[in-house]
Amino acid sequence: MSILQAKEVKKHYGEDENLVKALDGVSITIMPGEFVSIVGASGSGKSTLLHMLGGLDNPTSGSVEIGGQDISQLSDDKLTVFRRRQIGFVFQNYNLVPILNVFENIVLPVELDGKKVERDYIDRIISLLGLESKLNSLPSNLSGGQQQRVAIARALATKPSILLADEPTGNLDSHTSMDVLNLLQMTNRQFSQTVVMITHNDEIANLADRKLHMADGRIMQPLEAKYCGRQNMRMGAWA
Amino acid sequence: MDATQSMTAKLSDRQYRANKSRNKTTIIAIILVTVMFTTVFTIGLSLMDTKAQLGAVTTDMSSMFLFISGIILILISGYLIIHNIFQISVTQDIQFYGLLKTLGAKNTQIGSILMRQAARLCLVGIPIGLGIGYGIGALLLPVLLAANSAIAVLSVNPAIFIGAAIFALVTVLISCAKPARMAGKVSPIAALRYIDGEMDDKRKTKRSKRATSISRMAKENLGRNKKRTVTMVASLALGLMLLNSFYVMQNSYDAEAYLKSYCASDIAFSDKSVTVDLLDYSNTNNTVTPELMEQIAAVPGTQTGVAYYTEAQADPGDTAINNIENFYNDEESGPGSWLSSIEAARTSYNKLMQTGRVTAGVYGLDDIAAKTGNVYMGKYDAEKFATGKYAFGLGIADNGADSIFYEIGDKIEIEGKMYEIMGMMELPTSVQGSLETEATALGEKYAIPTAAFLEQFPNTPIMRGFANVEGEENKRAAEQIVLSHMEQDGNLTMQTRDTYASQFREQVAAQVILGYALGVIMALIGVLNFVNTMLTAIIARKREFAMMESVGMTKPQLKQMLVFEGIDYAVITLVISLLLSLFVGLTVIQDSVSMSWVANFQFSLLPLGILAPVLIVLAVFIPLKCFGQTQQRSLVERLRETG
Repeated sequence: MSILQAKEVKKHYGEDENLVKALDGVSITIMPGEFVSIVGASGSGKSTLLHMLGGLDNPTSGSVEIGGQDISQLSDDKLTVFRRRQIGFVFQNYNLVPILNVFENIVLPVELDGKKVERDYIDRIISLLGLESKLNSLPSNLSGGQQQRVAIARALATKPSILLADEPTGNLDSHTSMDVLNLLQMTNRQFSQTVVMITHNDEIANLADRKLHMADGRIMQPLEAKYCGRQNMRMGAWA
Repeated sequence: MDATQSMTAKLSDRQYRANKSRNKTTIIAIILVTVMFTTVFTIGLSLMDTKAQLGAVTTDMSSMFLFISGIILILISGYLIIHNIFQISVTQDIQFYGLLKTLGAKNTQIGSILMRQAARLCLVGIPIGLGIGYGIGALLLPVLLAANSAIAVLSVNPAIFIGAAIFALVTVLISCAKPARMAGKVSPIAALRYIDGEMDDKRKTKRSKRATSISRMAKENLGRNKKRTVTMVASLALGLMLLNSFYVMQNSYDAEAYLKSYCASDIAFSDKSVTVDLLDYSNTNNTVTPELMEQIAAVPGTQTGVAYYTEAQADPGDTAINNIENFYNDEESGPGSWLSSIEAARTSYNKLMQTGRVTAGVYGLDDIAAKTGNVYMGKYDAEKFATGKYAFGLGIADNGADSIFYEIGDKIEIEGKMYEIMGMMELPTSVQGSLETEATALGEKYAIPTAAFLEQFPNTPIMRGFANVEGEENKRAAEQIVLSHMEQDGNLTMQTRDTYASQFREQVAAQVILGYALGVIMALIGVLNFVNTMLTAIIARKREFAMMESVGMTKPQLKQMLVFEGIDYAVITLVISLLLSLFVGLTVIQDSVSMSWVANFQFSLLPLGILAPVLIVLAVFIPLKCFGQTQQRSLVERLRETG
């Protein structure tokens, strides 16, 4: 049973001669606990795909199902609630709320959901990400790597079933990038988190269970793409 | 408090504290709006209390209409600025709201973050506004009532504060309802991508093959956010229109017309009963003595005149009787109701119809007094009049056909003596006095020369004395003489041209002072709106400016572009103000002015003319000042900046 499934997703902008096919019929299936990376050149449609998968934007046609629920059927508010419970986002530019401190940023999605913060769980994330000493800092006083850790912690706070990361290492140096990636891998294993990550860095993409190539709004077939899988790759995922 | 609420409260609180200068602008706007509401409420309720003190509790329709249109104007101008401020702040924070949305905040949660901040700003702004507004109301009230004999009662009715606070709160809530909805509806994806969002232009292409110029870029920039341009221009234009309209009103009041009708001489003096309303003239008081007249006549450069008054039995002649009969039987014009409601008038009328005689007011006028009259029928011939064979009928000049009671040459009889009607005239108030007695309820009044008067009614005391004095010093001397007599006789009273003139100015000021006060505050709101819009637009376009610099636009060129933008705003505002002022001036103001007989509609654009250069200077200065503040950091830093 897949956790995330996109069927023939198309996203078109503009009309007639200005028509841009950002996504031109993308179908993917992702299994629970999988770590998938999506690579592609700038403008290949990978960010747009991630936005569709996360319910941030609506496809022109096609459908996205998360845990069997077609999210295009949901109203704006229901989708928001669904998103905050099921999906965590990590962005290239961190997107922390500048007026809240580290701890407040991490628990923000939980509180927005009107739930009580589970201190044990949050403390586990905080210590896993090594943020214990920074809890009272404001985001502007943190380094890029630290800010991205906070963003990952925040993405995990609601125990979402899926974590979507849009160039999480795009603003970081190579050393810090590896750190962040190790953390993503760790959460992937420790919390059985499904992770979908966009990157244009092949080295980083290769650390995933499965790597998808995008070009011109389409997923390239695995055989035509340069294939670089790991041993524990789940062959059944795209069968 | 559950967690959700505490989180929106916390976010709202932090955001509030993170935006000190924006809060200041908003608080000033809320204060100004509250001040206007409170002033209007204070004055409205105080006027009602003052009237109640006089025993009149009715509120007439026209003042109710003024009150309501004032409230509506304030609502509009308040909406224009507060809505604009919140709209801008939502645009500035759109990435913040989009991020919250991405993280799972619902529309209502985001809306409530904004509403909480609005409520908090009100909590600061409204009390201050109530205090200042009450103070302004208290200061304006005496000016408004200066022309009335009533003593101003400053109302302490709590309804002033409750009402003004509610209206201010409603204005703020209406103003931020839409921005709050807009913040809630933010599409997370749009917010993530959002850069400088200064566009509501729906065009997809722009046809142009010409190279662009700086001034054309400035014009394009104006069109980027049309809604904001419109609200800003409207809020300034509203204030300017109000100032101009009330100036036209003030300018239209004609002091000369007033003086001509009220005061025909430099100095006039009489018994108090002649001038005080509702008191009958008592000609048994020998108030204006011959000694007084002699003393004043002795002042160099002085011409004196006198008027006598008495009531006498008269036969007004057949023409007049016919006219009176027709007048009171004319159902349509309704004077018949005067007869049925006033017993004295009915008695006089019946007596006239039965016996052909009526109680008339008879004035004895010397040449100087007679010359003050406005002759609207016939001609005043001094020599013929002095013979004592002629009389003038007195009436009100501008009542049309109803002013004409006689025909020239009509024969009338006063206490047995025949006179020939020479014409009709209206006497100024300073000569005629307010002599409406029950006995002369039909309003038959005649003027005959003093000699003839004294022959018929010997020993009648002088009702009024007048003096025209040449030279300021002589005038003071003459006034001093009357003043010294006033000390001895409490019944003597004096009016001078100056007191009438200042009384007139007070009356005019009372008509326009509130309008000016509101106009000034609205213009201030407009300027605040201009500053706020310009500043935020420049801050929002920081990156764009850096980008322009990076492709070769120099700082002086950027500044020039901003100055063009400012001037374009000012010019649009002035044109709209001009059109609004023309429209309101030629409709509402002209209508209201034409109803007053002391006003002579005179359109003017003087306030706009004076304020135009001020506006242009502000339009140049404000963008430059705002731009300077954004240029503190290096080009690369500014280019990198994301939000």
